[in-house]
Amino acid sequence: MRNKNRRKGQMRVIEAVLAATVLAVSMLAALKLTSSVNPYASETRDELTRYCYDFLLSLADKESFDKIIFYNSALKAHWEQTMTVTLTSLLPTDLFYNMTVFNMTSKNGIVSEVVLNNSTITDASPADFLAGSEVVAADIIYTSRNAWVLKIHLELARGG
Amino acid sequence: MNLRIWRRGKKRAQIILTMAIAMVLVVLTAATLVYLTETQHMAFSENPSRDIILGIDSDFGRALERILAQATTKYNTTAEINTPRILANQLFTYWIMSAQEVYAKSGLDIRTNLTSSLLQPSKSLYGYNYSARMLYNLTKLYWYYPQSISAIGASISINSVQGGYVGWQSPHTVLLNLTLCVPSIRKGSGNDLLFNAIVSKENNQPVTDLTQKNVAVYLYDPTVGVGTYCWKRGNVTQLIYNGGGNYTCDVVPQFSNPSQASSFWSYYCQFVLLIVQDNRGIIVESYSYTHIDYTIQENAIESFFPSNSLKKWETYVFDLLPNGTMYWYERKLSYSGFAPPVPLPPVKQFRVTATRLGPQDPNFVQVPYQAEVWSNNYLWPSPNFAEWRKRFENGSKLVFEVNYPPGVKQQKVRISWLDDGDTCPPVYKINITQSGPFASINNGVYNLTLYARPGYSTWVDYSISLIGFGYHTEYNLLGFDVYPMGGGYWFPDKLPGGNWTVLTGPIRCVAFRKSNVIMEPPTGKNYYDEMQHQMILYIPYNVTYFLYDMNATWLNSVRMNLAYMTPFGMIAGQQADYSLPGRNLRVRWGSLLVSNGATVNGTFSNSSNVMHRDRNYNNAQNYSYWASMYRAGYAASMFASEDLINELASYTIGGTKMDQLWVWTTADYERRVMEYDSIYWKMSGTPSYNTNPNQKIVFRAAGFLSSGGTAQTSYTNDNIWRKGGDSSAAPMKTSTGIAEPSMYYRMFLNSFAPTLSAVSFG
Repeated sequence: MRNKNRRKGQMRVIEAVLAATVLAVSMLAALKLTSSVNPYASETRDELTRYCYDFLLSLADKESFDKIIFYNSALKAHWEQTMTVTLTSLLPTDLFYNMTVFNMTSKNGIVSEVVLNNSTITDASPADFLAGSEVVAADIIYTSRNAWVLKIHLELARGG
Repeated sequence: MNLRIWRRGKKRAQIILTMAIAMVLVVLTAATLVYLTETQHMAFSENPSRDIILGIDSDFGRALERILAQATTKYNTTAEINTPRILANQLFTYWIMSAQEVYAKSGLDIRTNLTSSLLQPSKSLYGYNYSARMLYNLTKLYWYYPQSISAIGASISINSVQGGYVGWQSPHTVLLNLTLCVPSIRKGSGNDLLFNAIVSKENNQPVTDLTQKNVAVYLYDPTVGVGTYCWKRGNVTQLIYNGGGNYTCDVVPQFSNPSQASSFWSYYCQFVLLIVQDNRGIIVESYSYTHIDYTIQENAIESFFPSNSLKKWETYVFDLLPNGTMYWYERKLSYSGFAPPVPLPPVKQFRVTATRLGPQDPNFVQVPYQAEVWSNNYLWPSPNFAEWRKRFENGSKLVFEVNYPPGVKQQKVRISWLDDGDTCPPVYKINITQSGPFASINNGVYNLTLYARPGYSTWVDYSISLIGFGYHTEYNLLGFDVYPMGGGYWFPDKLPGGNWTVLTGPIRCVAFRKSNVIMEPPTGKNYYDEMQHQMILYIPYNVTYFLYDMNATWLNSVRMNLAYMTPFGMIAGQQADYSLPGRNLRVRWGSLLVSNGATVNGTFSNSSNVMHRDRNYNNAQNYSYWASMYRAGYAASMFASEDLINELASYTIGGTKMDQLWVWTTADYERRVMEYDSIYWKMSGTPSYNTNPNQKIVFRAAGFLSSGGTAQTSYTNDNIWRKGGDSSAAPMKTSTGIAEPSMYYRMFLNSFAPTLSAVSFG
């Protein structure tokens, strides 16, 4: 009778373990499938690169570059500061950034990149980037409402 | 025993089942991990080409939006398509080069293609048929119809061997589609107008984010005075979104004089011009109507000469103003009802078509037309007279010609505006050449030469040379006073001076001057305080006439020592024509209408200086609306308006009217003259005359060439036509040369002006 109960107990334990395993695997799978790239949790350089592009494209989709850089088709005064504040507020605190905006300037049929920002758009020093464990960069092209074509270059570095 | 065996079997089955479940779990877990790994590999592969390409593709669409916004904005201001199209192409090229520059290092090969696609199939909407609308050549604008579209389209292809993308291609179309729901136009509860409009964009997506600031509504103001533009921007008080891109617009019309605006609510409220600019900056413009139809009736010839084959030159040149009023020869065509105002598309969009065989003719053919720019009060041509790169705004005129062949008393005319922004302006049919002081205008029938920069020479006697139908006649426009010289006299002593400005459009030339210069050719002096004069000559394409409009004011009491004044006359012949072979080309007979409606015919002299009709000798005061000099194959005529007849009768000396129609052969026998005089030159005891300051000289007249005729059966009656010393210069009983002037002169009289029989729109 005791052996019989013991065996029954063992089977219950095995079944419970299996059930728990099923639940755990399902939850892990569900979490993996539904979670977006989280820069806080991103572990690879590739993920950070992907994040860098996504971040720029989302700003472009919202026409943030137009709103920050231009006013009535002309360059805003001190737009670089506005850009810095925006990036600082949107990017995770453990990421350093450095943005450069180029105006694609056409002269005599040749298009070249001319830096548009007169001051740096960054929250870090060069040393921070050197010290960073990972540094990634992304470039996107952005056509503004006044039909300027801009190249937006963003570098991100994981702090520490 | 059996029970034990059964329990042992049960335990084994449980273990097998448990193991099976465990195996399934392991397999499922492994499969999930493999899937996740694969997904992660695809999503976070080291090469970021996917993000780059998505970024490029996204910005390509954005660039097309920007280009279309810029192009439509430019088109809205330039009213011509070349500049916005060039701008669009430049921006497009700039974008491609920029993208290639930015991504060259990434190993991307970026290419673009202009696409050709069907934007909208042919359809019928609100009773009007729309042709199929195609998108090609990067941008296309189909505006000014109730349904209007601005569109841009191109495709982008990207190859990246490094990123594993080859042959990636993405077509893009960006558009804004506006439909003004014409049946929905209605009066609101107050003094407001309501209508609905549907706004959509590419892929038939409704535009949902419009507000009042996105729309501009123009409504006709029937209360404006002369010189003020009749289309006024209404005050959009509400723009209600009903879903599905459908908006209700509530607009309050603006009137110069609200108390007289009742006709707006009874009729003019149907005409709505709507401009929408979406939040991407793309503009589109819709009108609630697409054309105006007129039935214009001639009243000058057909009733008097039904189906007469001579009636081939009955061509009127009508001026249509933005407020819908129509003019011929500076006189408004009468119409008892309301006529639609003309909207304000770029003038190149207009097309004028008319029937050829009367109002029952189902076929409309394009007739000569042009748009002109005048001063806001329409008194004076603008220096930008023929500028077509503008909208049909204040000062604009739409000018078109309508011919009435034999048997046709009415013609239908359709004024339409095309929706395709690539519509070209009409081609020029009138040529002007300038050589020295002369400007020569070829209208396809005759060549009119102006002494455009007058000086002091023998030329200045004759202000206009008209060559056509194989010969020439000079028409003098105004002259007064007589200069005595060595036993003879210089007629006239003084002439209006000042340079002519000659402006031409595709089918009508206007020569004009406005000056206070009075020239005295015999002395070479100028006078500046005698007369302010404004003259306009109209030279339409492919007609046999020119129109002359005179508007002058005496600035002082100007003394004419030998009283004489002629407002309009004509002289045919020159020295070379006196001998053969030129002699055969000279006009031989003269005919004129007299006050009782009869005609007088006579022969000019080939050998004597004869005053054929002159108040010094006979009853030259008996005249009327036309006079003509002719031979077989050529005739030069002058047609007086009622204004000119009144003007002629407005000068008196000693209580006697001094007017006449002077007909004579010059002292050298070389020239034949017929001229209307308001003060005839009294040969004996010539009086002087002091003009009345502020008296105006206002009249219209026309010169007319035709194919002439011959006069028959001479007789003698010096009271009708003097022979003088030449017995062959006799009056003639009959003439075939009177047929054309008799037929056509009523065209230039107010009382027989064309009338509007019907006006409609759609």
